[in-house]
Amino acid sequence: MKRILSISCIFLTTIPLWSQGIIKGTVSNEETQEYLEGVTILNHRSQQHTHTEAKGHFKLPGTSFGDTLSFYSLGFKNQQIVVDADFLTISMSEVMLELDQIIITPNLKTLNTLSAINVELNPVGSSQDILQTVPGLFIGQHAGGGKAEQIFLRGFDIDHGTDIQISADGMPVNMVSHAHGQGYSDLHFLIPETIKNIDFGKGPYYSSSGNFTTAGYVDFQSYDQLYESTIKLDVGSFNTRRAVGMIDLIEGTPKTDAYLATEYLLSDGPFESPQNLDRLNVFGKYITEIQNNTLTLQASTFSSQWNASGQIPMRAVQSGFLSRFGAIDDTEGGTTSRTNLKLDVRSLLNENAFTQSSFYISKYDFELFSNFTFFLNDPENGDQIRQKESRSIMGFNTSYNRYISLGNSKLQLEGGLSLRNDQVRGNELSNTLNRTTTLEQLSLTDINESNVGLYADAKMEHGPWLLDLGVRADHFQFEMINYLTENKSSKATNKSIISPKINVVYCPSTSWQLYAKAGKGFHSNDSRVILNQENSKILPAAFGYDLGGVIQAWDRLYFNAAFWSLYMEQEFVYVGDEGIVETSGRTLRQGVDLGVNYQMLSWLFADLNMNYASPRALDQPEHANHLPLAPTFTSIGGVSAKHTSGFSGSVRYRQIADRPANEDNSIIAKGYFLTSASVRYDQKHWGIGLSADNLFNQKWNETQFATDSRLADETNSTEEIHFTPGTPLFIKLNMQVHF
Amino acid sequence: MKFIKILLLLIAFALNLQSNSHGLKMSRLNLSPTPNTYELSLQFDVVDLLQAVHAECPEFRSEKTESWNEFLSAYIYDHIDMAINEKPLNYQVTLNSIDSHFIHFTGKTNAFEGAVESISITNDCLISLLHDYSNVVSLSDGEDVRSFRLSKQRPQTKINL
Repeated sequence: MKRILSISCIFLTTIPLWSQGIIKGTVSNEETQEYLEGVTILNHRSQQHTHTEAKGHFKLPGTSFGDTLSFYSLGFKNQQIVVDADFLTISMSEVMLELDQIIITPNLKTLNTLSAINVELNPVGSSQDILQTVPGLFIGQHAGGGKAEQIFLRGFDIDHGTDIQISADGMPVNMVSHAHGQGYSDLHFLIPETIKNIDFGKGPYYSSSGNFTTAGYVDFQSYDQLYESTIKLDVGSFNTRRAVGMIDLIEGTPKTDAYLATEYLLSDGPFESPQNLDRLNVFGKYITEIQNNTLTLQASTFSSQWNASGQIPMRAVQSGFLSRFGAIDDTEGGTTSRTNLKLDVRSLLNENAFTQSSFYISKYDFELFSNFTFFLNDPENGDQIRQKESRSIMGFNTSYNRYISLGNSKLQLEGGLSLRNDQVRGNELSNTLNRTTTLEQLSLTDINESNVGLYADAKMEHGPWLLDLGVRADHFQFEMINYLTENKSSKATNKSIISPKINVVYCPSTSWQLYAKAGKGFHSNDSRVILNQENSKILPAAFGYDLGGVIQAWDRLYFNAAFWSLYMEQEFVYVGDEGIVETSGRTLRQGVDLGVNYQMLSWLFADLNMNYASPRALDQPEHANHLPLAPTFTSIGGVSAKHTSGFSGSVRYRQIADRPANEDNSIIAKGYFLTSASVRYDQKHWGIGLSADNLFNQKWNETQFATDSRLADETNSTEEIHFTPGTPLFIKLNMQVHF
Repeated sequence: MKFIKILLLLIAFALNLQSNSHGLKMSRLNLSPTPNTYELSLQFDVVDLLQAVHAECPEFRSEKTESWNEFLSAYIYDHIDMAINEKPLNYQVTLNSIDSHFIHFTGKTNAFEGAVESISITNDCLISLLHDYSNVVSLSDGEDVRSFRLSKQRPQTKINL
């Protein structure tokens, strides 16, 4: 996990070409001999700095014999050396985390560094929680643990991924034109223990991120190599059992390695009708070097099945008809699976240029049974719906990177191309009874959607300034066959969009920086909406800006703040009655993000993150312009300890404030404030831990919707909050062995 | 240069994927109400229907196109049954057109009396012969269309109006 932190300073302006005064070298981990990426190297005389690239190499211009260089990387002991050769071989030894090791440089991702500290102190133990490592991002599960989580970020109810681009090692997770909704992102095929680094960015400011990058993007990067094998067992409340194996398959060398990871999870959840969640994950990765090329082949497969108690109406609980963990229709649930194959090639063309390419294919199946309105539409059989699809995805990403020296300035150029094709067979919505009988076919389509994206980005670093200019162009082709029309009618259309970006960072010292980011992004609409509704925008754009800064107020105290604004041409809005997301009008969101990281003692850390947002619909009257379920205030924070004796632990909270559940704010989705605690003891070859979520056993609603529903014995429908109850006190014991 | 070639190959591959095929195997039966009758419209994939009729009636292959209507209509009468308000309802269909993909029939039901409360339809055309085959039954009522997908597991549906 130390390497997670070393990634935090990724800023690849690291191989500039200077004609004189260049010092080269490598930096590695003294213990494992692993080359370290993202180590900051600072020349105290010239104030020039650079970072090591993926293989631990660095070049620092403007450096002469006798200069003093400092090497910084989180989790490693700082080193100072006096230059006495033109090639330096540096080994850094691991130490306890020290916040004063953070060096602020003209860099767009300083917040990632601070976030990585929290991940290091509070390792993620479940795939649900992976996303919540992004500051300000909240999730909610409302369908039995197997369905993708609902996501909230920056004043967005993102549903399952309409406005955030999610990828794993660059392979897309968002599903376009998905049976359950646009952008559906099921991350359960990831094994959290294989995640090395979480790269994220809020807002539409990043040239390499295309579709869905409006609220932001998240990319999960897995370990290339394991240095030991691990067996891990979790035993928790509600018949939760989880086993993880991570096996180093061959004796790793700097050039070749392979590992296999598996995860098996069983859980009944707190519901009266057990959710019988059953998930199996297998992930394998092989990496090798051939001359100047690094080849990585990874394969993964996952399958999951579950039952769900759905979202229950408040009136049924208040009247005593149901308990909080009961169900109106406990035949909800589903099955899903995904298998991926991916090949990456990174080629070093020369000292100043490299290409990175990846090719992936995925096979995906999904079948989900839900009942949002109970007996509103069909008093006899009920309103259960089935959403089903079978999908193949093929894609290709490539980028070319070059570093150029322009006197005292550094220029990094990047250009990229991406291709993606989704073929969805039998994208289905139907009314069903008890999962077994199809009552009525509401929609049945085949979808073929392709996206070609091109981008160019230039980062110029001059003194304390960084200027980043980028532009990307995306072209989409949409095709749909509707089986419920005469002659299986086929429709097609296409659309392109250009998205410029500009980012400026001012960093006059290693202790503070200011930044301004602005850019245009977009999210594509569902093929079925585009091709059936002529007035629908195909690629509604988002325009945003961020103004913010990061400051090291004291050796071990960091503040960060940002004011942001995002205008969108067209919004996705959840329609509770139908269980779907549909498009609506223009919106404007504005907000403030605040964060604090503080190391109180050598072993004691505190962090706080607060996010305020004002999300509004622009085409609605003032009294009815709220965006349903969009979060207005969220906060996370806590105190974490990590001691050299092997003991570690934390006490943390997570808060989301009350928020409007409908447009006129007449129905409120109640917020929550949850506390969790954990304690661990780790030695070289084993570890044991105990964690408690919802420590004070509070009653809370994990997800909520304003829905119009009717129960079996009711003559009229009622619109009110329907909710999925949050998990009560959840205790988990964890044991792991390394070998 | 090799990189460029691979790139062009991948682009060509991606563009080639843009032509979609009919992924699902199914027929379509549409019922449109008129006073006291329903007008019928049926559509099958040509190859699928001819294959199914030949399997049940081997002499069909030697017949000339002019006599197809007799064989194909008989196949439909054998495999599609209707009832209104639980009472069996006869119908007639005629081969209407054949194009490169589809074969179309049109027809109408016999007249019935009284208000329609329910329509029951059994349609097992082709589903015993072809794996994963399904038959879509659509009931038009003005702008509203209700569709039902029948399969080997569920060859019959009852539509309450």
